[in-house]
Amino acid sequence: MPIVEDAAGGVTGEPHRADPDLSDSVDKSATHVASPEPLLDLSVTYPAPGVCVVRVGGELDMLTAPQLTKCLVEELSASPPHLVLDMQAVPYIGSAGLYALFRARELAQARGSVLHLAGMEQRAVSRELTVAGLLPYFRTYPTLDHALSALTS
Amino acid sequence: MESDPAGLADRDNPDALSSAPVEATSCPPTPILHLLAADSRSLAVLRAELRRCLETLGWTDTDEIHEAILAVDEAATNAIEHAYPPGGAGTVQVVATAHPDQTLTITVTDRGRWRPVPTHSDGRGRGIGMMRTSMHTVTIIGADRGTRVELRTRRPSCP
Repeated sequence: MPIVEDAAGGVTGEPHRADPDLSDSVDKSATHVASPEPLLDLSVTYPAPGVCVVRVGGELDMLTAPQLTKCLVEELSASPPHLVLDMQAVPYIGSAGLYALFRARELAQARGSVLHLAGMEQRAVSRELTVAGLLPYFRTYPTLDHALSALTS
Repeated sequence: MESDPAGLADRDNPDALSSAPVEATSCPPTPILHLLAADSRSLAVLRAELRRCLETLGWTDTDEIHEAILAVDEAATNAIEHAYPPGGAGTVQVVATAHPDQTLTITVTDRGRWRPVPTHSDGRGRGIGMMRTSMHTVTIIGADRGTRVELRTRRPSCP
């Protein structure tokens, strides 16, 4: 049976074919060859004692999110007191990216580090965190400067 | 490729909107976006293609464009991640159809095995919730020969 859901999450009984013909109107000639990998741009700095900053540049999706997780695992292995993730240059974040952020929080906790999310004035990120209900789990700042001011004052 | 300004001008003509699908490079009136390789490297291309398509159709609100892209990206991500065995080749078909009320139905279809929505606690499965908050209607049709996700956008606000 098809699952039919409206925007409010309710299930409606809209009828559908039990065995949908999934082969209609397929343009086989449109087969797409994936372009070169859009790699995430990650830069790590230590602007103050005990503060590690990871600047993320690029779209965070299923392809790139594991790159971020790998980088964070490496940086957190040194148990920095504070790890600041600057999301200012992330124009898109999907569920895989959100999961990477949530995982980063868990990894930081396990290493005794505090994770901070900066660059929240980038709406693409703050909006998805809000919609997903994840924002309360993070210490957030509008910009990296705000985060560093808070951590070094 | 150039967009089709004439097609854009015919946007309010229901006959134009219901005409046959055309090549991916000329979106209006009814675009076929792509038959993607079921590979995470396809996603960025899909998002860029969809953005161009929506802009060609006259969508101007950045939040509305973002929501539509998000929903399609999540559907395609699910297909790439779950439809085919690890390492196996497969395709994901994305087709957008414009309606006279200026909404779009975007279908994301794979030929893999239908699998129930994952609900385990590792953070997966959130994508369907993101689709639901971004779109007017989300319909998931599972069959032996694949899964089709039909996403109906909200009506775009007029500039």
